[in-house]
Amino acid sequence: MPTRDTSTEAGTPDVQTGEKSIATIATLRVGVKLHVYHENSKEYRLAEILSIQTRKGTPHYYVHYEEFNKRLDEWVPPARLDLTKETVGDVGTPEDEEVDEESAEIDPKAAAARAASAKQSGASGTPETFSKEHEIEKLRTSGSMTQSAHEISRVRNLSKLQIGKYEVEPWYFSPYPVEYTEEEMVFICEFCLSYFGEEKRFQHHRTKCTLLHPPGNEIYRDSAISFFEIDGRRQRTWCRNLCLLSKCFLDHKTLYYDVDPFLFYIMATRDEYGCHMIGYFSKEKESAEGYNVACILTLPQYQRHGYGKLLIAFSYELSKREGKLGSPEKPLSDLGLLGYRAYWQDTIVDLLLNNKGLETTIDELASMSAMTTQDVIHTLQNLNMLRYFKGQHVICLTDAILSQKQKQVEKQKIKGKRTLDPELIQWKPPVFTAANRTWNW
Amino acid sequence: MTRSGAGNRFRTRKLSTKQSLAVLRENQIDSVDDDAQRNIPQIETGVERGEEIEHHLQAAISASQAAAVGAKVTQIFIPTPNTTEITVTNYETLYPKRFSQPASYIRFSSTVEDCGGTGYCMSAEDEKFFEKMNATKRPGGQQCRAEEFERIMDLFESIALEKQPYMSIDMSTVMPYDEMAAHFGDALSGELVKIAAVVYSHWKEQRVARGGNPIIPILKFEQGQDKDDGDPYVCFRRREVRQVRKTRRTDAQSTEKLKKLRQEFDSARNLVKDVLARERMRKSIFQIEYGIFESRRQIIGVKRKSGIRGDDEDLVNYKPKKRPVDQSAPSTIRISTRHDGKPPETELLQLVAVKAEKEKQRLDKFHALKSSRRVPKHGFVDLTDKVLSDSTAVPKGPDANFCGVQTYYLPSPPPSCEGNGTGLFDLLEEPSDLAPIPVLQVSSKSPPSRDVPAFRRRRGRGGRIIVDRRGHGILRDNDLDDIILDRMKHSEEDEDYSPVFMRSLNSDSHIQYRARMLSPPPDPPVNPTQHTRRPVVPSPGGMQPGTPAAFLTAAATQQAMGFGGYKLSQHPVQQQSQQQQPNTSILTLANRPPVHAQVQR
Repeated sequence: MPTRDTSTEAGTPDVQTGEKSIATIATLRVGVKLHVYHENSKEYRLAEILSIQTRKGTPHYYVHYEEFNKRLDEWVPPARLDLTKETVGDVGTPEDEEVDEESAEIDPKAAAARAASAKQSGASGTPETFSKEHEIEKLRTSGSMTQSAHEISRVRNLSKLQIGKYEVEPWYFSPYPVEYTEEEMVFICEFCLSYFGEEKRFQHHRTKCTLLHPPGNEIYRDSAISFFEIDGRRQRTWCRNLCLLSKCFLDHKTLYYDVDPFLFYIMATRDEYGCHMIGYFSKEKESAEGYNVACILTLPQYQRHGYGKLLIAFSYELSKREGKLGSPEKPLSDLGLLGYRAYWQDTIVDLLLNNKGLETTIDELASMSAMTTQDVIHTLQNLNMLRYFKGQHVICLTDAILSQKQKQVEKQKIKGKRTLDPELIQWKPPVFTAANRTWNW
Repeated sequence: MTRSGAGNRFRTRKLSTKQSLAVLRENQIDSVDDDAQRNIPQIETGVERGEEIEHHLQAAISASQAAAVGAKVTQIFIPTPNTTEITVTNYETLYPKRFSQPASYIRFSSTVEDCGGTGYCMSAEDEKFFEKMNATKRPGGQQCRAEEFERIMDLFESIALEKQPYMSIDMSTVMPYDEMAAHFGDALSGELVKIAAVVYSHWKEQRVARGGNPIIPILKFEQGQDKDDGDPYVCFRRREVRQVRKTRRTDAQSTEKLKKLRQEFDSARNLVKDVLARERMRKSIFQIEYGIFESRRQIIGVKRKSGIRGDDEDLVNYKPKKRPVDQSAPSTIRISTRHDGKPPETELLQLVAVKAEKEKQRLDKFHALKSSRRVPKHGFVDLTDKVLSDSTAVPKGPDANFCGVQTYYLPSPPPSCEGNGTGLFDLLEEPSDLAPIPVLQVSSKSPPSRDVPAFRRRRGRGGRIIVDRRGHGILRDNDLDDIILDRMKHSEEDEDYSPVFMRSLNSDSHIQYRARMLSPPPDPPVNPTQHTRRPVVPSPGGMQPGTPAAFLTAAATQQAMGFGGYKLSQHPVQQQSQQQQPNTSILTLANRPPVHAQVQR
C-alpha cells in the first residue's frame, strides 16, 4: 500500500498560516489537527479531532484522518496521539509534508476543491468560532446534506448494530433516535428492520414479529437470491427503517425527506429462517434526471462477495424492461464508483466480444446495456479503448483488457460467477399517478 | 493526468454517439501515435470532489488505470471498518426456522405494523414489574399475560401521545389514571381494566423517568420550527408541495390568452384584406365601365360617321335581372333598430298568439257545428246529447265516403331515364310517347254512381283502415285464367294478415317498394304455369306482390298517405288482363269485392 503521509496544501498560496504549537492533552480542542497513530496502516497520520468524550475519567478523541474516508474515523485514546509534533490550532495549514508527485498531477479543480475543504475544516475549528457564515460556506461548497453544518452528523453516533447473525460497526451518522447513541448495541430485527436499544425489548419483539421476508412482491428468484419490490408509500415504516439502517453505511444518503417517492428493490438470500436482506437499491418512481438508482448498498456483512455487481446488474435489467437508459444518482461514493466501473467495464467488454459485426456505435452499446451514452463513453475512455486511428474514432479491445478478461474468466471458473437470469424477472414497470409519486399524507 | 498535446491535435473531431466505430484489436492499430494515447484522459468520476482525492480511492483508481494500460497490479480494496463478526449465539431462539418458500413468487402487502403485533415491547424493568405484579396477584384473580401487559402499556402510550403530546414540556400534569381510563374505549376487557389500574403507576414511573417522552424512543420528525432544519436527527420530512401545477395553470391561461389574441388579430387582418380586395374589385369595375363607356363613345362616333343605324341596344346598359336570392340573403345581418321605440320583436309572431288563433278557430267551428245540429236533419230527431259531428255535410247511406275513380288518358311524360329498362315509364316507351295510359284519380267528394269504380276508406276497430271498392265486378269467372284463379285461392288468407307497415312511409325502402310495385317485371314470364314472377324484395308481411291483395295494400298505402292523385302505372298482372279487356281499369282484377287491405296504424 502506497504511503502518503498527508495532504498537499503546502504551496497553495491562499491558505492562511495558522497557529502552530505543541499541545498538551489539556489544550486539545475540537478542530485541532494532529498526528494520530492509525493501526491498520501502522503509521501516524494527520487527523482532525471532531469530538471529545470522557470515558471513565480519560478523554477519548474522535478523529478524522485526512485523505481517508470518513468511515475510518474512530475514537482513539490519548495514547494514540502524537503530541511531540506540532499541532495545528484554529486556522492553518498542515506542515512538515512532502509534496508527492502523483497528487500534484491532479487537475487544478480538484486542488482548488481541496484547498477549499482545507479552509473549511480549518475554519470549522473550535466550537467557539462556529458561525453562520461558516455554515453557509460549508453548505455552499459541499452539496451533501450529510456533510451539513452540523458537527454532530460528522461523528458516527451508534456504536454497534446487531442484524440477524451479525454484529456490524456502522460507518456513518444515522438519525436513529438520539437515545440509542448511548447504547452499546442497537438491535435490529432482521426482517422488519425495527430497532431496539434494549435487548429484552428486542427479544419480546422477536416473539411477535411474523415477517419473514421484505414486505413486498417477489419479482425475481433464482437458485441463490430473490428480489423484492417495495413501494415507499405503502411500506413507509419498513422503508424508513431500511433508510435509517442504510444511512449507517452511506455517507451521501439523505434522510431529510420521506420515503414516499421511492421504490425499493431488496436483494435477499433464502434459507429456512427467512429471506435475509443482502442489499438493496432505491429508485425514484419518476426521475427527472433519468437516474435508475438513487441509493445502492450491499450490507457490510455481505460485501466483497460479488453481490454489488448483481444489484447493479438488476438495476440495469429493470431499465431495459422500461426501455430507458439509466445511470446512478450522483455523487457516488468511493465504493460505489469502483463497483460501477467494474460493472461497466464487464458489460462493455462482453458486448464488444460478443459483437458479431466488426462495427458498432455508442448508441448501440448504450441501448444493449441500458447504460447512458455518457457512461459508455466514459467507460471506453477510462479503459483506454477509444482510439483515433486513420482519421477516425475506433474502439480498441486492448491486450490489457483482454488479458484482464481472461484472468477474470479463469477466476470465475474456480469461484463460480454470480449472474442474473433476466428471464426470471416477473416485473412490469409500475405506473403511478401524480399523487402516488409525490407525498400523500 | 491530462491529455498530451499530440493527443489533442489528433482528436479534433467530436465523437458522435451515432457514428459507426470499428472494433479492432490492438495489433490492428498502427502504434505510431499510440504513445500519445497512453495517457488516459481524466474522466469525471461522479464522486464528490472532496472525497475524490481520498487516498484509498485514488490508489484503487490508479491501479485500475494501470491495469487498463497493461501494467501488472494487484487488486486494491478500499478498507472498511471491522464490521462483521458472527457472534450472536442465540440466533436460533430469536429467529425460529419457520420459513417455507412458496412455489410461486411471493406477493405480500401487509405492513410492519400488521406483522409486528403490539407496538410496545417489554423492557427488562417492565419484566421485573410484571413478574412482581403477577406474584402479588390475589389467588382468585387471573394471571396477566405478557401480551396483555404490552397491550396495556401500548394503550397508555398511544393515549398519552394523542392527548398529551407535550408532556415532556410540562411534567407536572401527567394524565391521571381516571382521565386515562376515560379514553380506553372498548380496547380493554373488564379484567384487563383492573390490571391496567395496577400497571398505570408503573407506566407513569417509566414515563417520568424518560422526562415525559415516549418510553420507547421515537424518531424525531419536524415540528414546524426553524431549528428543525439544521437538526440532523430530524428526518423524513414532508416535502413541500410542489408549485408546478399552479404555474402550469397560469401558463395555460396566458397561452390561452395569447392564442385568443392571435386569433382576433388574424380575423381583423382577414377582414381588412377582404375590404382591400373588395375595393380593388370596385376599382377594376369602374375602370372596365369607363372602358366600355369610352368604346361606346368611339362606336357612336364611328356610327355617326358611317351612318349606321340600328343595334343601338349595345350602347345601353340593361340592368341585369336581380336574382331573388340576392334580395332574400342580404350580405349583412342587422338587428334593425326601430325608431318608434318599440322593441324589435313586436312584429314577430308570438307562439301564444298563434295558439290562441287556432283555439279561436276551433271554437268557431264548434259553435257553427252546434248551431247546425239544431236543424232537424232529414226527418230524424237527434236525441243524443252533445253530438257534435256534422253529419249533414256528409251524405248518408251506403254510398257515403265512396270516391269515384275516373279514368283519364293523358299524354305520357317523357321517360325519366332513357333506355335502361328499369325506369318507371319504360313500359310506356313501346307504343308511342303519346299513347294514352289509364290514370287513376280520386275525384270529388260527391259519391259517384254505382257504375263508376270507386273506393272508400274507412276506419275499422283498433284503428284499422279498410279500403272498400266498388264497381269492379266486370270480370266473369271464365275470363280468368288458371294462374289468376290459383292466386285468388290464397287471397282469403290475406284477410288474416295484418301486414305491419312502418310509420315512415317516405323512407327509401318504401319508395323503392312502391316503385317496384309500379314497374314492369324484370323479365317476361317464360312459362305462365310456373308463375316465375318472383318478388324482387319480399313485401312486408310476406305478402306476394303479385296478388291483388298486395296490390290493394299498395293502393291503400298511397291513399293512407294522402296520395289521392297518385298516378299508377300498370301493374304487371294487369298487363296480362289488359290484353283481354283493354278498357278495364287497373283494379278490375279482383273478382270478389270487397277485398280488404289493412293498414295497421
